[in-house]
Amino acid sequence: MSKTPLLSVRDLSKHFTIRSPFRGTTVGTVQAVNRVSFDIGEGETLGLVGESGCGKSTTGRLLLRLIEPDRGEVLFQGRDLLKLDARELKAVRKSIQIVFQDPFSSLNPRMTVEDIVTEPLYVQGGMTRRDMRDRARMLLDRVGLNAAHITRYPHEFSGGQRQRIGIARALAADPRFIVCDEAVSALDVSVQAQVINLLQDLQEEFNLSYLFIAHDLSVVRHISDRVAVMYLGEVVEIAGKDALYASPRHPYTQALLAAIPVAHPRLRGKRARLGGEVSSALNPPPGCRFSQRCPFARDVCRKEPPALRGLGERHQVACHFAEELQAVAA
Amino acid sequence: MQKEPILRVEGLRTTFTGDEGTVVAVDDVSFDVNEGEIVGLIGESGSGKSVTALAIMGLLPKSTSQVTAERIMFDGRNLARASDREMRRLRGGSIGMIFQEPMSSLNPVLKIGDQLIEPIRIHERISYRAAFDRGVELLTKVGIPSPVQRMNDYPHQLSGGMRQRVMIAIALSCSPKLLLADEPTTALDVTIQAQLLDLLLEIQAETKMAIVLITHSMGVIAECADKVVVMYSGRIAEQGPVTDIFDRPGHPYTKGLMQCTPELTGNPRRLTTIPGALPSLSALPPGCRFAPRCGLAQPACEAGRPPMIGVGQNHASACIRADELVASAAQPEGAEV
Repeated sequence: MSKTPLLSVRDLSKHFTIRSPFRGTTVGTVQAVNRVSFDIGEGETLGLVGESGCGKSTTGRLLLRLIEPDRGEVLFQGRDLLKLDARELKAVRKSIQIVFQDPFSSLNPRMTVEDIVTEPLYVQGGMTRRDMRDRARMLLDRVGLNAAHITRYPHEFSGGQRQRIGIARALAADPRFIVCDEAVSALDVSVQAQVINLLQDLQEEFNLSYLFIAHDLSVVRHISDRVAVMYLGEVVEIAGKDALYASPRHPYTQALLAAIPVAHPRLRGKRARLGGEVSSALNPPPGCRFSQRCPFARDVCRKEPPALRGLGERHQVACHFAEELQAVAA
Repeated sequence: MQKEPILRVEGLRTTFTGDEGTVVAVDDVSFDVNEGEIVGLIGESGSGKSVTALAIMGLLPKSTSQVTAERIMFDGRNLARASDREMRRLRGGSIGMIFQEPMSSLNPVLKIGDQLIEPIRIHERISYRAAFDRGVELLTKVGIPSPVQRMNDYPHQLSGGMRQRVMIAIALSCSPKLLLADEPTTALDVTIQAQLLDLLLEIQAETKMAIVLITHSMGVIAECADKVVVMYSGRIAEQGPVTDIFDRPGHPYTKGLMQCTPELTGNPRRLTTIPGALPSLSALPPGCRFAPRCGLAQPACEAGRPPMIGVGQNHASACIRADELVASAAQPEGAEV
């Protein structure tokens, strides 16, 4: 992966201003996404994990400009998406698609499966109705649905099947890159495994790149090549999945991994638990955002925000004391 | 444990009547919960695990559902025959409950304190002052900072994790002998889930109450349960002590559930899956309900309902090939389900 990455995100930020509902005065700023940077290579999966409210879904939407970013760069195949006008953006969008979490609300209940799956083609134009229908049948078949069900409506399908419809829609315009926003989180485990396998097969077949947003750390480990951990709008650590899960450097990553339930009752035991709650991204603390919950926080952590810096090969971490913590752990 | 179990459910059956006819959501479910024991009730959506809990508590709407059981013995009383009045006295008293949604199970227009005090004063004849003090004590116990101030807060002023702590405090308010916890940590983030499971275990160790923990997560089971009841499509697929279930699963569904959860070690290219989906309750297969998805199915599986076969101490599975499965588990992994 020495070539230029397919997608390159630099200093991406989105701050929402909160106004008082009556007076209209600014009450505060939610720094939903703050100076986020990462790369995704061709055919690569980057997992994005974090707890609710950490900005992972917002990040996914910023990449597609479903929400307009405030600052930063999103270089896709060398072009900055944030500088494109509406027409250019439309042309690029066919290469970038998204699969949403909720298979119930992300499909229009009044549209047939055919309409849903062909909508991206219709928007892009240049295809006859018959070609679009053929493509929809092919796609349904590819994602493991019966192509004869093309005239049915979403309510006639189960949750897992609906998620497959959502995946077929994302594939319709022949994308290079798909944002999977909690795409398997709402599914039962037995169905979840099927959809994960499907996503991996499709990736191999079409050489897709994924940004796989999820809160389930074992699912992310399974599907990703590299993993980025977010806390309160900022990326605190990025590394190859083996490095991240085997030797996490950021105290938050360590806490997150320690919170995963054990795989077997024999492995039970008291482990270090993270106290406190996820702080609010509304007016975050001046220093490291994790400092309030961090068991290792010192004065400097409360004053200076740590920058994301390289630590070993392709392992980046945003902690002032990453080396020290590593030494303690060893 | 030779003592009578605190809860003994025998032959529980629940049906719902709707526009499309009658469906059996829970079909002949029997299990015991011993004193001080944590029983994990695991299954996927639609398996009937929540309905089982609601049926035990008598909380299903009488207009659309029918609950029958040979017996539901709780603490020497048969809940299957109990009057509404008796049930009201038990609920929130000797039986506590926690639900999944910390948002919708608290009343948004009542202060936390009032919601805590209400059940205490209903079940015990004590003054408001004494009940208030008990409430503060309970909030402290479940780890809520500045509990006296929180008594005056409304639910929306608390985070999801804090609300679930309040729910636990309410459930504990009358020192229940049995706690029914329906997916208590499902809606929460992992670090908060870990905190709450630790809290439940701590309180359980101290009070020795029994817990029925309903969940869809094998991880939560591995973390907490003493005994496991696996439900599939309204019936019990398998039940047994937690280590036996994990080491020697006697039902292909249990084995499949464990295999399709990604692990944190090893690097399999593909996940093992269970093909297909849960059958609809209105179109159930005739014999074993798992047979259409099962890699080990034989013609005999479709002939009739498989009986529960004992495969170990207190360990039974509703699979005609259970013995085979348990024996193969003793050998190194390799057999595919």
